Amino acid sequence: MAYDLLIIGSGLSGLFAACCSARRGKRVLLIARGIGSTHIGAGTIGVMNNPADLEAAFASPDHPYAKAGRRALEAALAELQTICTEHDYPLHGELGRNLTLPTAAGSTRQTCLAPQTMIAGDLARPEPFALAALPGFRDFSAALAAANLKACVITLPLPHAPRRTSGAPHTSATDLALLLDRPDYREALIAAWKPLLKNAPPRLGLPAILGLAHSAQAHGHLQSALGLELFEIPLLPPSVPGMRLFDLLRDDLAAHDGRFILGPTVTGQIHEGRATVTADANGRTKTHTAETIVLATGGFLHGGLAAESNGAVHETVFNLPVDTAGLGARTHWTSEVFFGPHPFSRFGIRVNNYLQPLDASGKPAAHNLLAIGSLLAGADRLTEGSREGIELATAWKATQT
Amino acid sequence: MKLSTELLILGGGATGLGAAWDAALRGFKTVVLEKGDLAHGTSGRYHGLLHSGGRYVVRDPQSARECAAENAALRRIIPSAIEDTGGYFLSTPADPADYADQFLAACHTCAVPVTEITTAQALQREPLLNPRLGRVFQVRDAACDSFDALHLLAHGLRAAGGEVFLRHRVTEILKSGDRVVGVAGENLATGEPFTFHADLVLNCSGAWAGHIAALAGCEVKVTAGKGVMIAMNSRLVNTVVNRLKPPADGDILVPVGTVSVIGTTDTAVPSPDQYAIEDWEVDLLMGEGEQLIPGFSRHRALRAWAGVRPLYDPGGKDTRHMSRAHALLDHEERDGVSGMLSMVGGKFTTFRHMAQLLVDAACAKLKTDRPCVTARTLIEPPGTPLHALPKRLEALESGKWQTASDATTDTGQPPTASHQQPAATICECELVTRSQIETNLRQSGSPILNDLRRDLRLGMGPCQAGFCAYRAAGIIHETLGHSHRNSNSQLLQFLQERWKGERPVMWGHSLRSLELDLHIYRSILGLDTLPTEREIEVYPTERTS
Ligand SMILES: Cc1cc2nc3c(=O)[nH]c(=O)nc-3n(C[C@H](O)[C@H](O)[C@H](O)COP(=O)(O)OP(=O)(O)OC[C@H]3O[C@@H](n4cnc5c(N)ncnc54)[C@H](O)[C@@H]3O)c2cc1C
Repeated sequence: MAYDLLIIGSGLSGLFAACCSARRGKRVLLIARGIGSTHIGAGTIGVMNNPADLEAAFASPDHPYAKAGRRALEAALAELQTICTEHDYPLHGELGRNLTLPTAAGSTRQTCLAPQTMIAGDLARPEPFALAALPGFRDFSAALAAANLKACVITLPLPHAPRRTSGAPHTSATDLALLLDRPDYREALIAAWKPLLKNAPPRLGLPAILGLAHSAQAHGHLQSALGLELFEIPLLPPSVPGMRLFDLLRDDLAAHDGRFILGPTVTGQIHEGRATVTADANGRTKTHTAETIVLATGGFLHGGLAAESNGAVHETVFNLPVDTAGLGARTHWTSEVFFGPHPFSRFGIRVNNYLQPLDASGKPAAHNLLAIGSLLAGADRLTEGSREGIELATAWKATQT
Repeated sequence: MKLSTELLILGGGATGLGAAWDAALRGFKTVVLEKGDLAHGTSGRYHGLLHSGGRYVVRDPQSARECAAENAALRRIIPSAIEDTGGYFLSTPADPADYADQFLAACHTCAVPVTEITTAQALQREPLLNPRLGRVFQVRDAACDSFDALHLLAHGLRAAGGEVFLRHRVTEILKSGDRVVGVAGENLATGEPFTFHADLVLNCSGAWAGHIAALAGCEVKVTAGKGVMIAMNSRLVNTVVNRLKPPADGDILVPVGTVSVIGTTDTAVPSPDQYAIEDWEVDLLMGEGEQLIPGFSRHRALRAWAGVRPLYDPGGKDTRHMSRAHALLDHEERDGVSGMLSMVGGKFTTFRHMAQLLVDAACAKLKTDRPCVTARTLIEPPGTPLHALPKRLEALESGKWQTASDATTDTGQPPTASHQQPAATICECELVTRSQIETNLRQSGSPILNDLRRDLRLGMGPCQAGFCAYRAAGIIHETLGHSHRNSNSQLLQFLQERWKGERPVMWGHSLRSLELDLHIYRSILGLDTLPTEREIEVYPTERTS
């Protein structure tokens, strides 16, 4: 079958590019070795920790935001919000005005868009709040978070908390989210919690476990039954809010006849200026081509880039040249301070304003190849808080050609 | 704080704790002062090899003999800290062929048990080894976990009535005329000063021994010989593997717990507190690893660290050739200062022997005759051995670490208040449970999160503490009830300490893992902007280049 768009990588950028194209009637194929950035993310959309820095990013030619352009960012956020609303999972917020939300350690994080289940945690609001300590749930340290946020703690036992195996006496966020999808479990929980929340402040923060497929119902049901505003706080991976985004985009892609193949490892070839890819699933190989191939394989973590001890850094599918800002020896890649900023964060491949990756001579590596998302050079996404914004804006732009 | 004792031992490494345990068993009132945590010095940063003696047979026969004897002794005394891996001396194509005969003859002379085996036998047991092996000799090398060993010694010491004061840094030696009568210093945890008076002071401060001696006005030249080691992510071998050649850099691979450790290098450094791990050292070790195991450098390197050898020898640049032997210094005889003895140099493997010599000398000074009994005293572990992963797994599986709550949740009964803290696994890589952490925090005098790394191996596994550090910080906060600033500081300090070891091997999978950890700790948890307080002093002030 001939595809208009072939996307490699199932992180936020790959999925979003696939959805946007499929929604415009394009024939779309997405191939990925595994699940990408959504499952480790907070499930929120960060654009820039300090919105005032956004103009500078658009104005500095090597920044991925400059490659995408402001219009792409605005349109991408709007389109994501539309898709999410259609799937009964509204994302709130607007460009230029960040929400300040609490973290599970009691720090704060800036985000442009956040799901309905989180926004009551907005720290700009004056009403006091409590944090829920769930005994036996090890991924949320309510006491520490509350001490940092100057909130109080309410201990809320989980009714017959399930255990997965005899050797692992802990419950994961995913286990709880699946339980909370069930109305009967929510009823049991409400019965157990209601008496304990009699004198609670008007807002209650919970770890992000409020349902997976039915989070809107779970959140709404608990809020009205318990009589207070509930907000979720993102946790260590795998992230329940991140999974919701993944599931929703995957479903949307399927609903618009996009194809999604998870598992194969993809290698690319460029022949006479045209890119094709070969997908290898356990020894069975298949070569694909498309009008446009979009590389959305991410940075080091997700395998789009790979670094060796001798200082070599590769792009893993097409072996495109990687911009390492001239930092050859690995000592220069990182900072002595754990939190960085680390120079390697800016490594990536260089693209022109059409998002075409450039070869060593600075020309487009292939006429039908684009690159998007965290694979692109030129931004320290962690320090800027711009990871999702860059992923969405570049993905959206790639679907405009 | 002002206290007095009979024997005051400076340094809580293998030498100091070994001497203290020996002295306490002989009935002396004994106190150990250590500026860091147990195993904070070289003893906690060594290669992990309980020498058979094979390494020294050709160049240093006396050390070889001592190692052979002590290897047998330690297997009797602290069996729970030792894994009987056995060891091979083998020649790769890069090694001098004539060394083998020399080695074999020297083993016989030094009473180091040795058997020659075929390369096929060696390869059957260790399939990853270079198939182009020359000759292979089997010796009685073993892996010894120094964290476990030192905890056992401290436990044995306390059981015999002795005491260990951690985070007590000695800054002054108190003298009356030419006689040492005690020490003064600072409790680093509280900032309070202390003084200790003693009949006799035993300086067992390893690479810092020269510094301590200088406080008493004596000159002792101890060269700090830095050695770098790299932990590889898995047990590439189950046997200690040594190259069959004169001792050199990167010629030993030791299986330790879940990892295997390649080492070491050897360069003189100006101070035991200031050194860096250089890229060339890491590259050299990875390269030597290739000789033993083809494809070595494609395996994941987990972390690198360095220890400083206390080498007693005046002058000389190339520390590899300095004696690994120990020296007992009688400062009365040597410098006219009575009341203090020093034990410098030596090896981990021979600590018991060194302790015996030192305490024998102390007996002579104090004019009492008390025989050493350590060679036949078994130290039983107080509980489940701290580090051995298979034993942890066994305990976890058998439910030993589970509290009542775990049993009841299965039946579907809502947990009651007393059932609210199940023994969940906090660190999956090393199987550290919540109850282990709580117990450790309660038992430790001045608990900090960073000590849990050494005490429990928390955060030492392949996820590089990506998941457990936050969980553990929460437990510390709940258990100790410190201020949030204190808990935050501990968490940040823990992560920074881990980073020191990871940074020298930042490529491949480790770099991927770093990106994940940064994502977790900065973007999801926002730890970089948490309010902190004055940092608890950490030793050593090591930097990575
Ligand atoms: C890289 C390397 C690899 C090695 N590998 C092996 C091996 O495989 N097998 C083997 O048998 N041996 C090995 N050794 C040797 C062995 O590790 C050391 O000989 C042994 O650990 C020394 O123990 P120690 O107690 O004398 O010194 P340490 O363990 O360093 O103890 C001295 C203690 O004194 C404390 N101290 C210092 N100053 C003060 C002060 N002012 N106040 C209070 N306390 C103070 C320090 O904090 C320290 O904890 C190795 C050494 C190195 C460097």
